[in-house]
Amino acid sequence: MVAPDAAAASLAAYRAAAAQDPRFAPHALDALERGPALGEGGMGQVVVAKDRRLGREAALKVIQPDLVDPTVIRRFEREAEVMARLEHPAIPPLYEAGTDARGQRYLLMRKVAGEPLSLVLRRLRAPAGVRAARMPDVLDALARVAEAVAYAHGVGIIHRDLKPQNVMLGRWGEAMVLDWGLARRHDEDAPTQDPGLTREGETIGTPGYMPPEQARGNPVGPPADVFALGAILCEVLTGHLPVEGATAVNRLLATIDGRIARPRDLRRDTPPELDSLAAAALALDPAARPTAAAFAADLRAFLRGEPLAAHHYGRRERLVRSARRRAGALLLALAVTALVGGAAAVTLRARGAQAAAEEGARLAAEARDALQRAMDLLAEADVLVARGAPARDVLGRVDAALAEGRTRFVLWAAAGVCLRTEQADRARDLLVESVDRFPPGLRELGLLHRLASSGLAGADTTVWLERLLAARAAGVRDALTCYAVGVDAGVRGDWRAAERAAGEALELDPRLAWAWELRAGARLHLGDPDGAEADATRALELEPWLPSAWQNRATARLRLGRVEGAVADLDRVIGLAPTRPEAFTSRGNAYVHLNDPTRALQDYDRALNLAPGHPGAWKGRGVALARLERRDEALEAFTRAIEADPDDADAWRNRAVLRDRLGDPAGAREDLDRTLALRPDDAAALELRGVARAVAGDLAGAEADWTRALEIDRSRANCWSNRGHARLLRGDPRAALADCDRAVALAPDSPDARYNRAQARLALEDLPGARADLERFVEVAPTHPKAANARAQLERLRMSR
Amino acid sequence: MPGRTLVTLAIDDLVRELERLPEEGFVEAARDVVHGRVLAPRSLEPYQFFSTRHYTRNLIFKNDLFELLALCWEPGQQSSVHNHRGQQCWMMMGLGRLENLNFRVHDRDEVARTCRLEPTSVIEITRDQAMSVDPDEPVHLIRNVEAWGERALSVHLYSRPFDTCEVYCPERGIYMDVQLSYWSTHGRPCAPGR
Repeated sequence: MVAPDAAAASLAAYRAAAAQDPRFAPHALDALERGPALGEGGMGQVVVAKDRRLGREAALKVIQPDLVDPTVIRRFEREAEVMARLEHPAIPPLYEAGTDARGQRYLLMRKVAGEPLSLVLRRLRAPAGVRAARMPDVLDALARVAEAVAYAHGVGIIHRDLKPQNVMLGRWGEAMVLDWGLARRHDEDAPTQDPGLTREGETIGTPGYMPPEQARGNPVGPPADVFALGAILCEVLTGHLPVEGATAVNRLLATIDGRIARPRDLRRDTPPELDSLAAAALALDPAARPTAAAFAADLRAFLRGEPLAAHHYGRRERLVRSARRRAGALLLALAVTALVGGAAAVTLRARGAQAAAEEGARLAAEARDALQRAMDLLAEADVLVARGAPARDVLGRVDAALAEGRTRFVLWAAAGVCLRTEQADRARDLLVESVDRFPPGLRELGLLHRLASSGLAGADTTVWLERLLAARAAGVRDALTCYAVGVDAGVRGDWRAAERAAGEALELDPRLAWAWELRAGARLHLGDPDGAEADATRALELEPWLPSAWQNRATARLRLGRVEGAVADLDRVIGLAPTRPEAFTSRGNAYVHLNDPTRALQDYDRALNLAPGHPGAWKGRGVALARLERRDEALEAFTRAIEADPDDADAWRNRAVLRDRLGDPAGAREDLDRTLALRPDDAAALELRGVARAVAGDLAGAEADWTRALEIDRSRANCWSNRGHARLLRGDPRAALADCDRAVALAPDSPDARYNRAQARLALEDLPGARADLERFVEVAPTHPKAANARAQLERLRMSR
Repeated sequence: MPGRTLVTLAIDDLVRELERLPEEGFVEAARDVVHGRVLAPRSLEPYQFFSTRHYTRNLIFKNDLFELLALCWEPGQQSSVHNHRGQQCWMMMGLGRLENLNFRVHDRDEVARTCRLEPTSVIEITRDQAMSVDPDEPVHLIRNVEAWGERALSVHLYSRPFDTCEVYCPERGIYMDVQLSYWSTHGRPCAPGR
């Protein structure tokens, strides 16, 4: 950092030099009428300026008058020098650079009427704005930007801060690359060339758009700009940056780590060719990236429906491309129209002539709109779900998209979103609507549900559904059809039927992994964890990439007490589907079983990062924290679990136990009442409430709770002992003795049972029996609060003898 | 570093050596004490307190001249972007390794308390390489890289002690003073806010 005194002196020197510098000769800024601000940065402000002499509007960029950092001033001058060197239709021309009478530096340049690409991208993600800004227009604009950048590279300039905010889309379709304030010549690596401004190791840019070499502070060249173009393309295609992170620092760290996603990682329906182009631009190795010119050329090729240099075409893709060319359809403007292209080609073949072509184009446009809306919906839902937004917000987007038009694609997408937010019933309704409105109908709702919950929804879903439709239409009873029937049964909760149908499918085709996995799930629901584990294992032998099969086997193993095996399975689930909060929660539960609350806590936290309102994760977190004696935090966690799912009796009961331990018996009692309202047959809760009632002096109520608990579960030794004690206090020593006998039979070394039975025996004057129980009591619990009393009783018994 | 001799010493011995240094010339002498030394991990066990929520600051020793802290990092944990108020700082690794990211501050406005940060370098801190905070660019961030998958413990020597630091928020372009607290002092966990 520059010391203020030195900086002021340096500034004075610069101002003195500026007076001699013809490029920055004093100029009467009075001739300019300043208008509203166009933007503001760290260095200064950009305002609209009307030149009264020439009667034109321009953009005036001024440096803040009180800024004393000479580096800033030098950078401002650098921007003027760079812009003066650049003459390109996509780079705003510099009209003038100068210093006003107060010594304030300014740049006067062409004002671009339009809006920044960042704003357009925001609208692209909003369903209502889809019509206003079309993807091909944006891709065309990005091609222009890349061409401008290629031109700048050609004259030795790198921009270093390309991002949507610095791209202005004009009213007439022009695209302008703005803010060249951080640009420099790419032969300027040596610090001596520009001391204080471009030192070795300096990196400038915006995390998310800057490449790893820039983030690490290494020298950068033209490939840095190409990386930024790739990042912008990724954002255009998916609505997301290729670098994950909620903050600039986290995006910077992800960049340094090389955690760069490609578009298809973020959105499955990204056109493969554009995915390849973005991935090439986002290569970690700068030398592996295409030039900006090649990037622009590939974008243009895509828009013309021609092959891209960055994409490797498989045989099938080549055939499809060839067929489309023969059909004369120019529907390749977007790869997202692949489905549309197929439909249009059919129409064209059937009718021929221009009318057919027009009809095909209309159908294509309609279908593309519908598909686009569906994609936007999913993209928005992705963002909302990732941010842990409440389900109602996500469903608000669903409603908005449906209001745009309830087409088949939109209905599918909406159903997919509903599935992700665990609104299975709503999803089912939407799919049923799709079936009813768009014959021949997609009766295989269960299959879609299955695929979506396996993280496999997407293009594959369509293939499977169509295959099923064909099979059903032909009356085929094949394995897949049986499987679909089974899944449908499972969705309806008829697990017996699901197990049967899965079995039929496996008789027809024992290699159908999904059927093994379906039967494993059914058997879990039917209380057969052994069978479930065996079936899931078979599924995984055939298809080891099925996360649901790993999950089912883990659940089975947890129930069978094979916790370490369950953890290993859950590791695989997380490896295959790292965004599933359920998997982290299950593994956390397993770690609790393994008495490792610290690791459990980590998993619950990860689950909550993915789904901040996940009730199971909050509940598990509460358990782990309670194990770690962090009771206040545990209390908060259980409260969050209850808020997330007020019908979770376990969460109420857990909080009751904690409140009791924290000295809040009234709160504990309230929670137990809620537990038992939700689950009247919860023996543990009844036992706990009995204790609470007894402590409050309500012995009759306590006895009633314990009696009910023992009707449900006769193996609860403490419950027998407690009830025995209550009965003794209520004056019925015989009944008390009977209860305590049961307690001691169940838990011979239970101190409470021994002590309570001793009291009952004393009341019945069975002195030897009482002595034996008291002696055993002080032996097993010498520090028990009642031990002193027991010893005194023993002494009296000895004396009476 | 080939040819360099490293000396292992226990943390208590390091404290004793630092305590013996005179006030005048302390910074230079402390640098000589720290460089070329490797800390014995067992001697740091009393100061190992890991938290899943955040890295922990554990006080080992403090007097008017210097403060010695053990910072414990789970994989994936990181500090905020911060400075050291112009104090000297050295870091030594007791366990694992860390990554240090340096930043340069641009357009700092002392009145509005705004600034702009630019990353300038990334340095890995290992057990055999003590690290000094660059006095010219003292704004930095430290993290235990998640992919490394191991815990880390770093020992930080500050001269002089300080109990607040400037924390930078690149997202909003602002910086602010933050009160520092300990997770434990002299091997005993302390109440929040201490």
